[in-house]
Amino acid sequence: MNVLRTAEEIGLVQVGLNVVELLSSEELRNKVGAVMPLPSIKIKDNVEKMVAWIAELGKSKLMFLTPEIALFDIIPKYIADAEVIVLVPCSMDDEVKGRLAENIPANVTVSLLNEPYFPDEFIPSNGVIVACGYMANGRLMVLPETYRMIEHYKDFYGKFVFLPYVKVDEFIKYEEWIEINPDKFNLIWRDAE
Amino acid sequence: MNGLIGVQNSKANRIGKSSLFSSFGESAGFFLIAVMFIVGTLVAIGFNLPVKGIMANYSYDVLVILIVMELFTNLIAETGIMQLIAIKIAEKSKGQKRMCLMLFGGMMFLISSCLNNITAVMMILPIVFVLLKTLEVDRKYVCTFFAVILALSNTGGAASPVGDFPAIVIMTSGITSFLSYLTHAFPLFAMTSLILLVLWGISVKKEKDDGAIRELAIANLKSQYKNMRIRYDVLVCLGIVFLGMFLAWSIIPQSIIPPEIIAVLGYVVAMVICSLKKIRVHQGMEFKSVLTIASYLFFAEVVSESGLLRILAEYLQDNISSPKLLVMAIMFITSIIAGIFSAGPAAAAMMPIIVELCNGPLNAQSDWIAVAYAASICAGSSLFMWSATAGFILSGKVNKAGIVDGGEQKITWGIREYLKYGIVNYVVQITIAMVAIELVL
Repeated sequence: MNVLRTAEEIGLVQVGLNVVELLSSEELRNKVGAVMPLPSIKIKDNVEKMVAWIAELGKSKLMFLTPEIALFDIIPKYIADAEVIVLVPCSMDDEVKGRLAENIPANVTVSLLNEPYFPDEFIPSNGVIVACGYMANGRLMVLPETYRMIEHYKDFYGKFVFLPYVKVDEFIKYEEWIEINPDKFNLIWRDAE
Repeated sequence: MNGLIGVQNSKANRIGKSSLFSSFGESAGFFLIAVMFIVGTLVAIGFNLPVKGIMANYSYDVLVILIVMELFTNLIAETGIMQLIAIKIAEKSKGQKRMCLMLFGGMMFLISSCLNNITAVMMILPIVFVLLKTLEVDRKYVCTFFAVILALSNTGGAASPVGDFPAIVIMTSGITSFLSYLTHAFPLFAMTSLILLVLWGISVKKEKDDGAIRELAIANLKSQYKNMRIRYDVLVCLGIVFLGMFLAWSIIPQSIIPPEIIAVLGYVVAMVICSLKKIRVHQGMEFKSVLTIASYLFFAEVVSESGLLRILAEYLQDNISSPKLLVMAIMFITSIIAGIFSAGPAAAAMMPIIVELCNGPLNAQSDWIAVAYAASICAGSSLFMWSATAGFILSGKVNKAGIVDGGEQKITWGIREYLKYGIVNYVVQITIAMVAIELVL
């Protein structure tokens, strides 16, 4: 099972939520823990906190670099007129793209945008770009597609925020993950555990 | 915002036109269609048979039912119910490979018995692929899994009079009625499917892990489809229409309303319902399969008009005195023809012989003869990859899916890989069919 490929389709937070339910299994901890940091049990509570934090930014157009479907459901609770834009990496398989398009919650306006296009009327006053990954000893780690898209959309003058699904004290570099400079972001959510 | 993808376009993205067939299967298929039409015409000219006369008896009804049932399947697929069932099955199996095999196989049988084989396979494949990729399967399991899916799409197709081409040919031939075929064939093919499922299920080893990885795989799969919307309102309406078609096929004599007209009436009602309910009325279909079957029917009609099959039928009747042995001999010949030339030509070519037999000494047993004929075609269809209606399409899809084994080696599934599974499928099916005929005749 390739957890990271699944994460590209349902988001790191949703994978974290699925993993956390089964953390009692040593086999699972070894297997998943070999490719990504294991989520904390508090991830369930953190989902709401993450959305609330994004809502505090006061933007209605939220552009996600990973399809964090676990967050999308809750967004209307905090941002009534929210418009979610999910960036689809150019490397994503058509079949996965199709599945992703069908897996959009009905209670929120979500559209998919192919990399490298830029959304219309997405300006600093109304938009924010959200990247997900993990934080290890203060250092930020993202998946390669996210890294590439951060680089591509870095010229956006508005808010660029980082949302770690987990924060670990020790720096561990997992295969495939790439470290990204914290200066790329205006804000980092630091309440992850 | 040029790159914005409308959610409405998602299905088009998912079921792309891209390469349903492997390149070999595609070329061979086109070649076969051309050969059938050209050779058929040459034979007709050689025997001095007027082609116009041949076409007067051509089985257009079979083609109409085939097309309409595929279009009807498209409407059902748009409701999303197939995906929902597949996910429920995956959840029920708890990711156990043996259970996955048996439950998906069972689902394939039931769906194929009502709907078009190929469309049925296409609908469940995306979820099956996601599941297999997350379950960490090996080469042997993949081969077994798809061998079961292929065999059970055949048994499902033969279990009801509208499931697949040979069954439609039987229904429209008049040797049995819709209800008689259904009541005789369904139990036999259901039992055959069950035996195949148990047999292949036993060959899959039970997992020795604690199950958490598999549970995660299922949880991830559910997340991948968690916001999928099922149009139950449309599904109920389509279910009522389909039930109405079933009842009409069962009750109304073919002389009053022919089965193809019932199929058309059912489809047009379903089409209007879907249109009103804002469901996409997808009228695309794999026209190659229709052309293939059209060519088989043409060739079979030419051979039938030539009188060769009547001579063959009389020869068999003269040389095999026992009706039971005669039926078994025909079953064996039919199954081999179906294996070598696939179900379509076998069904079209052998049908006139079966009609001859049913109009002759075995008139009283015509319902069972029809089932025996369907069973032998079904067994032959499971023998080789190319014999089955969905064989090459399934193979192409599996090979494109990029399923890898533990060593990250891409798993391929083709003619060679299927062969030994096909032989077992064939032997099991033909044996059960012959034993059943031995018991009932």
